Amino acid sequence: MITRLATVPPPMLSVRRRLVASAREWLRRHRGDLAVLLPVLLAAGLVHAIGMSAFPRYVDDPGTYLSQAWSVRYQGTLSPYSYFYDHAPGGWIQIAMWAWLTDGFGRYDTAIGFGNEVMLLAKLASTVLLYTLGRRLGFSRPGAAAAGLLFALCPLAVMFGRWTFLDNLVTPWLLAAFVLALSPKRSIASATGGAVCFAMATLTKETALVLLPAFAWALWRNTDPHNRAHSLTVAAGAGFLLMAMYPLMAVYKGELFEGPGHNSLLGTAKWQLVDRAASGSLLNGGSVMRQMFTDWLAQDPVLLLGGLVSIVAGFLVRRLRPIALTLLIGWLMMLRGGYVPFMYVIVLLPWSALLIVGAIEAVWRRWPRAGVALAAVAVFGAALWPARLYPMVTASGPQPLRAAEQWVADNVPRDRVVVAHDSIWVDLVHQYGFQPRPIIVHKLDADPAVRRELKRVDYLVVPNWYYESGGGNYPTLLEARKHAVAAARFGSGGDGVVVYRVSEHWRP
Amino acid sequence: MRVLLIMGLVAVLAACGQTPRVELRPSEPAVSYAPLRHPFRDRQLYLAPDSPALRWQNANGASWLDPITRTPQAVWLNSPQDLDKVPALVSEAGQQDALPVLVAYYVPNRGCSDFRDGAPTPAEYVQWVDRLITLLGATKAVVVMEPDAIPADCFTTERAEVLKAAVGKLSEAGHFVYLDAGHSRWRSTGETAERLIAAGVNVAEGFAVNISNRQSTEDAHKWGRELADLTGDREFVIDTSRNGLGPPPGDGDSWCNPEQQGLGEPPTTKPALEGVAALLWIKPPGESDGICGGEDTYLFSPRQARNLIMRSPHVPPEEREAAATH
Repeated sequence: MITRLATVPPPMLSVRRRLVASAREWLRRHRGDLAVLLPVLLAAGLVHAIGMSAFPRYVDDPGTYLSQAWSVRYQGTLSPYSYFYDHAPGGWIQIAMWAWLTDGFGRYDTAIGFGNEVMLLAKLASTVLLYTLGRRLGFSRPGAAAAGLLFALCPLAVMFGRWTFLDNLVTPWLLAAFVLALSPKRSIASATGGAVCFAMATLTKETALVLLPAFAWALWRNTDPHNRAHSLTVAAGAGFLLMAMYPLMAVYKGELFEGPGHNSLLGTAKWQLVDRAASGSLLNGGSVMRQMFTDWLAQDPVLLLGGLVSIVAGFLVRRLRPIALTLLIGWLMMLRGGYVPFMYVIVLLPWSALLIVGAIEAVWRRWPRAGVALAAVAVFGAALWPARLYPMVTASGPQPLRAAEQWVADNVPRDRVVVAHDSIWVDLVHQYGFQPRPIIVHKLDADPAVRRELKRVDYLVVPNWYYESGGGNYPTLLEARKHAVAAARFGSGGDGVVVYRVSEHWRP
Repeated sequence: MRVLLIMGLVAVLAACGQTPRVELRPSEPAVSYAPLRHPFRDRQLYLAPDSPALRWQNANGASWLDPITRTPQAVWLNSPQDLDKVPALVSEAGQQDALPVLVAYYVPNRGCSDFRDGAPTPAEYVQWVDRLITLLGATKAVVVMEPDAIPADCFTTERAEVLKAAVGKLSEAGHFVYLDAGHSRWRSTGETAERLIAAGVNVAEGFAVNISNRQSTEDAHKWGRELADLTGDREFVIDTSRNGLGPPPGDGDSWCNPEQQGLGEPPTTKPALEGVAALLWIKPPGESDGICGGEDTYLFSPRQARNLIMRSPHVPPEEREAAATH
């Protein structure tokens, strides 16, 4: 009784002084971790940020999500076009919140620049959480720091982490979910917090749901048997309620089930899971999946293959088993043969980093010499990275789309109908005030509402590969180009951009 | 510790505040177009005093050929020998105070048949053009450049360069060049525009549509107007020599001496069509398209001429009747 009283601050102290005191106490207790973590964060931040405006090249998805975030922020709708449940909207709502809090779209002259900032923050948050999770899995401080560095400096993570992908926002939520699920306090609050974070991950990108077994296992194992039923009921209830918001929204909009004349959650889910062109299995040598995998390995084999090998070790070490299961599910998804997007690798990276370090530490404890040898192998493998990272941090000069955007802003009257690539759409609308709004290129043929409204097309501003490889999906784009002439060219090859001016006499 | 934190924050903020530099300028300078000179305005078209049709008419006393022989037509220059007729043409045109319309048809690899016809080399072609310029002297002519050269499958950047050089020389010498663009059922306007620009349409007066073809004037105009919009609003001429009935039915060889064809609208330098400089008879009507449709010649064929007059909606009934009965 007396000792408990002693830890309670005297009631006379102001709230502010009590906060300061507890912050001091927190800093004092975490001094050691902070001393290790901050340099890791610094390295992670620098390698991620330097050169991120020039590398990697522009791809479709970042512009799509940023246009949807812009729409949430400025129009109060989930998409500038009709939302078709392509993904749960949580990811771009988070981006929109950050834009709202910090005037994100106003601070940058390109939306992609703002997206890059959000990804940098996600990377930093993920690195902190990865370190914390490492500690909760029993890693030493250097071990947790090494896991953080593996994750932050892996060329694949730098490259894919810079693109504004929903998966990069899923990572911190998933890590946070595991951090809370493995809380040493084993309280109902931490279990519930973990479940809520997991639900946020699924609302950010619904594919996170496949990791539910691993997360649930981690949560189960860490709950105190005395109040396990209670903890899990509350946690599951909270997580379920949060996740249920997504289908409930669809029900509210009358768009849960398929039906004529409207988009639907289940209709799109069926498309994503069943109808969408399958990528094939990783085990099939000629599959799209295998090609993507080969491309990933070309960037960095160390983290991916090291992670794969460590799954076995992970299952042998009690503490690591849920993490091993997480990564195992990640790998199994690539064998199933369904559709796998090219940024899927993002899901594998943090868990690989954790398992590699966990495996080495486990070996180290039992057979120190073997542990040293394994660590040396990992360091030796990572020695390949600087050569891969160098072009990523030294890239400079504008991207062809960015240069084309500037040309359009300087040369095209604002009332012309521009068909634009996703990544410059927000800028043309927000910075340069094109009215009528430009048409996002893949909506030209995919969105019936756009087709109905389409009266004319004046300019085409998309990368060359739209005409070369994606031609079959863009008949109206191809037809428009037949009636157009190049007004300006930027860069060359598939990523090059030609600004086409379409004849005013042509009607789509 | 704090120093590290601050340094980190500064570095990170500096990196994200960095705005992308826009140095990538357009890799092609915008095309600048020479001012239009409108050569057809207030001019009458040159009527050749000698032609294969006229010679045949005189030899056979065939007055029914008048709808063809009394109509101004372009003069084709297909070879070095053909240039020999230019001095006479120059003096005739001076006497008529009329604007001659010439067709240059001697580009290397003219028929896309392994350089078997046309000038043997680009250099020889340019020399040929130089000689044409010398022979024309002070007489300014309309030169329709190289039927089919631009839409042809064997179009290359080398051909574009040769054409560009020729167009530049002729324009600089004061002549009025119209590059053949093909017709409305061949290549798209976008593709044609890129080829025309590569071939120097910016210093030419414009382009020609429908040469030797039979697409309706309306279709030719619609297509040409779109093409003009893509090529700096150059003006264009339409060949109406044989499009009176529009395109013959069918595909493949149906273009070659078809049964279904008639003379088109007579040439005019005052067409009531936006963007059109003149309607011209560029292909001499009656000249066979080749060895097909019952013909065994590339030369003048009275059978073709008769058919064109008989079926033309633009020829008065009594003249059609005369052609049919003689």
